[in-house]
Amino acid sequence: MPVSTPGKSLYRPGLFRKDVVEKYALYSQIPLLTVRRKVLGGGHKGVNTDLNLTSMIDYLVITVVFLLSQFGTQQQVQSTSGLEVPTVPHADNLTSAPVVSISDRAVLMDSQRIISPQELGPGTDRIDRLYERLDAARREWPVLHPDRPFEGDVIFQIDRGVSWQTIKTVARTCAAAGFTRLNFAVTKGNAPPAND
Amino acid sequence: MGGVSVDSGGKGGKKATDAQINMVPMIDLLVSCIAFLLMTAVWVQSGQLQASQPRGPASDSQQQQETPQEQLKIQISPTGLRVGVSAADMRDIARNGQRFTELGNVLRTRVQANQQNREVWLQPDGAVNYDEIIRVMDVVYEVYGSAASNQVTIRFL
Repeated sequence: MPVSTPGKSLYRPGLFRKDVVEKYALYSQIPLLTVRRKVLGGGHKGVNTDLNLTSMIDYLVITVVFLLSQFGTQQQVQSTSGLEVPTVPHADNLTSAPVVSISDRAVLMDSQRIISPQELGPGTDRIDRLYERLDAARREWPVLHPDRPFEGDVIFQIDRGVSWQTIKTVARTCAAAGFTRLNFAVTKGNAPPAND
Repeated sequence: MGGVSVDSGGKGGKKATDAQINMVPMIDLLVSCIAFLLMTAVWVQSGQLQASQPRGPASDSQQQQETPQEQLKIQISPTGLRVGVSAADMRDIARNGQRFTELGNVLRTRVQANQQNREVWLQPDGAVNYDEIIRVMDVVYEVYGSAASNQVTIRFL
């Protein structure tokens, strides 16, 4: 077939079949580009692949919701350096109450230093500074917790190596101030094997 | 790539009918949230063991007199444990690796014998460390149930 010089337009009437031209004219009326492309089909494979992100976003949203719900369900006692609370498997959930921390270095109430355990003598029945702080906390209770009656709850956050003698002195001071319900803070988990 | 990209789908000045929302910033945000929450989450679960004590700074001798005679008492000393209701009834548990298991068995026998008595008195020695007392309280919790739900009352002498 001889090669002829192309004219202004490559299209000449009769170049395409009539039914094909009508088909394209009809399909060009479809407003949605994606639908039109689907109906018309393509002569070549697309280079862009659509990734279905729905399941991935679902997974991410569920993870975020789970983590957020875990965030605020349980009150945590503020950790104090040099203080290791015991780990036991059976424990209740923590309540909201004044926190008294006892370690070998200091007795604290709500993170404020009260006294050093070394200053406590064997005959000490009451720690005056602690008593004053607890008494103030008891008087403030109805203001801070108007919907909860005062039941004498106090949280004891104690290092596992502290002797009962020290704890007893602090507990007696708490009892004198009206805090008779001792809540010993622990870590929930499997307890280590008992030592001989 | 940002925001919403609009594809011209219609003829001439017609408004596009199909739009594609860019999901990349949203996924970035979600992944950042997960990373932040994972890093700041507290994985250690805190709990509490509840006990009661008499009101007022009573002395040791006063407290001894106030102790009800019919209640179960656990004496904790550096040499071991003693469990029982009265002095004649006390059972010694030597300080060994199995003492808490043995204590649990003794308490279970007591509970089966008397279901009504849900009060346990602890009498730790001054030299006993806190860990030992908590382990005993844990055994009481295991056998009797939680103090917060009134299944047992633990008191200190």
